[in-house]
Amino acid sequence: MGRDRSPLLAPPRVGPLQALPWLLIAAAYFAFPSYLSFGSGILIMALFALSLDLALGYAGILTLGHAVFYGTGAYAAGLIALAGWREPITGVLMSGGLSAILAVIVGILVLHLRGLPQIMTTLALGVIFYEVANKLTSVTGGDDGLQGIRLDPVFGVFDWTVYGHTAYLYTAAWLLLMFLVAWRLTGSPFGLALQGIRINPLRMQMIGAPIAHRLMKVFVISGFMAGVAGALSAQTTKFVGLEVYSLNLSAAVLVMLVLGGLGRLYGAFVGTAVYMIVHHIAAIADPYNWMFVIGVLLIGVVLLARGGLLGVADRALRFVRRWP
Amino acid sequence: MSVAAFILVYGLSYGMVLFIISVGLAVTLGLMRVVNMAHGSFAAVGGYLAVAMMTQWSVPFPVAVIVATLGTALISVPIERFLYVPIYEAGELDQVLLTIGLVFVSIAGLNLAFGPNQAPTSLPRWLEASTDIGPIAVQNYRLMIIVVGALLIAALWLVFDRTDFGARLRAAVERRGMAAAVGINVNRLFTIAFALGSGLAGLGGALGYQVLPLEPTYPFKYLALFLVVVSIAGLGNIRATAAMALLVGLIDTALRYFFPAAGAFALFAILIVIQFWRYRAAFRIWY
Amino acid sequence: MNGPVLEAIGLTKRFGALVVAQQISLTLAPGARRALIGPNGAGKTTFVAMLSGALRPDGGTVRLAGEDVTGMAPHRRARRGLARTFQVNSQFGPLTVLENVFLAVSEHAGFGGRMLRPAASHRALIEQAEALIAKLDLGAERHLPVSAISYGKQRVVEIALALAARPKVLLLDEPAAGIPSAEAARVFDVLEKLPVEMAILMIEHDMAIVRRFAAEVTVLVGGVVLMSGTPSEVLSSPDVRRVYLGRAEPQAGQGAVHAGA
Repeated sequence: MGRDRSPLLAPPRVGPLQALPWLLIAAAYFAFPSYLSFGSGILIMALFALSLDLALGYAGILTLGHAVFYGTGAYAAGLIALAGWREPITGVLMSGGLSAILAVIVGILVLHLRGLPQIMTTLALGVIFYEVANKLTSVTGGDDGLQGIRLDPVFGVFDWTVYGHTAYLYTAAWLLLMFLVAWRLTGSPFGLALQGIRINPLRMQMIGAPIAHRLMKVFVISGFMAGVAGALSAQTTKFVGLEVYSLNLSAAVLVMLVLGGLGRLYGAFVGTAVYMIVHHIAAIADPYNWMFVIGVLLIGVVLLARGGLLGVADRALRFVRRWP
Repeated sequence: MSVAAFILVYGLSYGMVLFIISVGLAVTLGLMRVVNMAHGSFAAVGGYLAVAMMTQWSVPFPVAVIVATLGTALISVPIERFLYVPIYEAGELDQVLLTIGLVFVSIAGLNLAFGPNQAPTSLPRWLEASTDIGPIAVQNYRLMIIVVGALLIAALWLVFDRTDFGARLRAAVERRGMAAAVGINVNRLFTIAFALGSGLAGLGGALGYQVLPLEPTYPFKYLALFLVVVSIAGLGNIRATAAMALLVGLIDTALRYFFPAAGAFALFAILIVIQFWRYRAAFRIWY
Repeated sequence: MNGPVLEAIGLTKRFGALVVAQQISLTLAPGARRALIGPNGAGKTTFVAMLSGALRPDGGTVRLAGEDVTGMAPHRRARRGLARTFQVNSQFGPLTVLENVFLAVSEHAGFGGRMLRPAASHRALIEQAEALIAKLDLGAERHLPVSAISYGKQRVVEIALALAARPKVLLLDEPAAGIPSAEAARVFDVLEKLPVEMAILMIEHDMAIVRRFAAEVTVLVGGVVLMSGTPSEVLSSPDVRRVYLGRAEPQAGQGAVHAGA
């Protein structure tokens, strides 16, 4: 068997396969006009999963507490709007910025750890944020959450309609922007170094890489993106509840990402879409049915289909290409 | 009864339930090095089995608990063989993911079998009643838990530190290949240890059905708690797990009484501090 | 350049009550070819770990080109010209040979932190990596994942990763360990072609390799330097013989010391 190229050093491709997800996102806008708020929800989760892919899929940071960045972005955006600053885009940037700052602090606590200690510390941080938010009812609204968030029209022109047209396009635009950042990042020497750190941190040190700084950089970027996702959630649903800090959410986004495939950016899109659609359809019959399907899929991915759904698609494509 | 007695009785019994459930996790996590997020599922299965037997077939409490424990241990065997064996040598991420998948499946299954509502937590009359110990009237249920827990601690110490089985298990974990080479059947040993751990979880779930009420989301709801107890104690350290669980029970009960505002997060903050301290050498050479 | 390129002065390391390394001193001049030998558990790997920065010594100093690096993190020492290979292959298995070497080249050139342009556009770096791969005769498998090539070639990749940083000092930990003899020639070839001015310290068990490549030999026993000298001095010394064979006099039919006992 022979290979003719090194995939990570190949020039980035922009072809039909890369354009496909965006065409689908655009098509959905026209094809499912009554499902646009659900669609926005998927796009927001996809962004959240994308942020996790940078940290986990590429850099190998094991975290069961990524919701701390999402939740902080959400509450920040909600509080900023309720305080009177209703410009949406700067609201998102400020919320993302706050999450990025939080990422520095969290990074100091977790990035030098590995394996189970890292998982446990990130999990514990998530629980702490949840409990604190639960207790600070004067700030977060506690169980009732932040309600009645109102925003100015985007660019002063696009009003927020009840059916979610603006919200969908607004969210899609942010997703595209963040995706381009992630795409550039992962294709750069820095992105390659991140994978090196994930595969063999000791070796990376010995070839001169300052792994602490690299991991901190990607963690901050990831935290920023997760914060943006949370802020978008607050702005589009006009509501922020405690679940934005929940362990359930940290676990759910991990599952979404793995289902789609780690370390491939679009895995976040595929996994999120599948997860949320399955949830939506199965939950109509019984609120717990979807857990069965997702659970089985997850077990299947670990035991059989490494690389998630995109990995399976890869293998199928290679099989098809081998036919004369 | 006085405040101190209240905290002592309720804190200790709560801690005992945590211990009985968590010690199984200490075994799989610490001794078998598997990150088992589905441990709470086995506790839930044990609890639900016991409650179902008592409510549907009027089985007396002690019998229900014993059958539930054995049943959970038995159920764990095929699960271990088919789902855990492939991930023993896998990385932490794979283990986390597979066991989370198992949690999801178990929650759906529990909901299917027992419905979405919380299971009944009423006690049989003889457990509801109280016994006088000196000046204090202690509810029999709580007393029973403390006594069973204490007996269990003694029994486990005996098994792990004093028997062949314990020695072999510790050997198999330290040097798996070497242990196999000297004739220890590692696979069977792991199956037995896993059944033991899961059975204990079932026992804890059954005994503690009023302390930790049963509902379909039980496996996920209390998971963080079990993980934290075991992590702070140091993996595989059964004595420390016992001490830690009891401490958690006491402190948590005391906090709820005196400072309801503190909430559960004190425990998790302690975990973060302890992990930071434990790995401070790694932190120092990190930057 | 003047002065020694690597100095270890009185390095000591304790693990609890066990003293693994005791006052080990060693100096490498530019162009040195020194072998570090000793029975298992003598502290050779610990010593190299202290030199490379993976372990902090409990006492003593490490100087790299005159600069005190005793407390310096491994990656900073690597940037100052220290490179090492590992006894058990330590590479980026799922990545191709070219990607592996590119990583090392890119870090050395200071481009590892660049986020904006695709890796593919850094043509100069790719060419450097290709050149090193060609020099080490790995061209045919450069697009194969490292985990998929033969063990012998993996050992060469191991050396490539160290060489990519154009080090002043190279620490080799049993470079030919575990390679079937058919493949070993490839590694010897590489070792012979190493730049003359590079200082090399090699941990070795195979006395044939020691005799072939080393100009000086240091013997480490029980964490202490037993003696230092040319290969023939060391290998015919009765003290060294005793350590390896348990007796001082050569027996009939026995040549000099051959480790592996």
